[in-house]
Amino acid sequence: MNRKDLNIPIDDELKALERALADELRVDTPAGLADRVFDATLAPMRDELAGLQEVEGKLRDELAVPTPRGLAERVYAASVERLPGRAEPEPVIARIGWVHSKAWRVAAAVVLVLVLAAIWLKPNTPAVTDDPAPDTVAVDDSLTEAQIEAQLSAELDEIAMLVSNATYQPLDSYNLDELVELDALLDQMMGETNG
Amino acid sequence: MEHSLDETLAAAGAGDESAWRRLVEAYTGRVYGVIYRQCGDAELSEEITQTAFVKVVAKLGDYNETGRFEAWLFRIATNCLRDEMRRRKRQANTVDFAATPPESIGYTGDEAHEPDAPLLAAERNSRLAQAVAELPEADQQLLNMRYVGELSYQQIAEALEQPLGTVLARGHRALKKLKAKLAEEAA
Repeated sequence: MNRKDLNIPIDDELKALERALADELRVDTPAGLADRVFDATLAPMRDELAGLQEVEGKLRDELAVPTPRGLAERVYAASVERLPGRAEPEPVIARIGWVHSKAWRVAAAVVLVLVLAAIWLKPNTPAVTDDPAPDTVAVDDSLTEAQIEAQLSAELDEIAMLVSNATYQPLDSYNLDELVELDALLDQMMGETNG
Repeated sequence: MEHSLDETLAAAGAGDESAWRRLVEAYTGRVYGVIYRQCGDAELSEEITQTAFVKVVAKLGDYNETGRFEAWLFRIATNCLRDEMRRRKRQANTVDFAATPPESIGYTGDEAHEPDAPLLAAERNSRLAQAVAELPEADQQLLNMRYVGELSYQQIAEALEQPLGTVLARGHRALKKLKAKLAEEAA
């Protein structure tokens, strides 16, 4: 008799055999075995871990380094100037409000231009020294021609007075003709005296 | 910090002085602590801390926060210290800072001016501090970053530019060594 005679599909036969074997060989796992195995294997690890945690706790306590007083402030002061994007400190003059006024800026610019122009246009004047050269005569360019003539005339009068050592008479009070006559008279007198 | 780190960094990067002050106040102590633990010199630690923050602020405008600011800050600080140590070695070549325990270098005996000198002196003598000092320099650096700088292992890995797994394994080994040392002394 063969399989075909029994008309049993081979797959069904194998599955039935598998079930029978499983029933025969089944071993029930004791209740809680997995937990016990887990605990048994973990316990040493737990002990070790607890020991290490104790060491870790001591490390944290005993290796802690007190920070010197004010260190953070010193570090900040040393580093803050290099902070990227940090706004540059505003110049003191820029903090004055009126400088920001457009009108004041224009006024300041005008004054500056005027000052520069005045400096540039200022005529050269001789330097004033404490000990001017004795032969130099200060000439004031601001005097008019008439004033200069008057000044020179006064100086000539002064010279004439000193030379003649006589009663002062302003030079311009003499008539030129009178001077010529006086001169001729003097020549005549000198000739007579010498003769 | 009331403001979020993202906001504070963005504000500082735009020139906000108060935001930068908040950052400085939040991180100065931690950076100083890590540097001090590595070199043992209070004056140098302050100098390095200032240098690190000056470098950070100069680059802050181009910095985009992606959760890595702390790692970046501490990397700059530790690099500053490393560069300074190299420079001093070249100049003096007298003290091997890298191989010398922190408590044996740096102090010149004039710590009285430091307000916290007694506390520092006391903790330097602690068993745990001594045990840490006996660890390799790399382990010390990692532990300092973790427990003084309060960085996560992920941040430490980024700061040291090492794989996270390596940092985790080294940290775990270092803790086990310390635990064993303390157990031996207690027994």
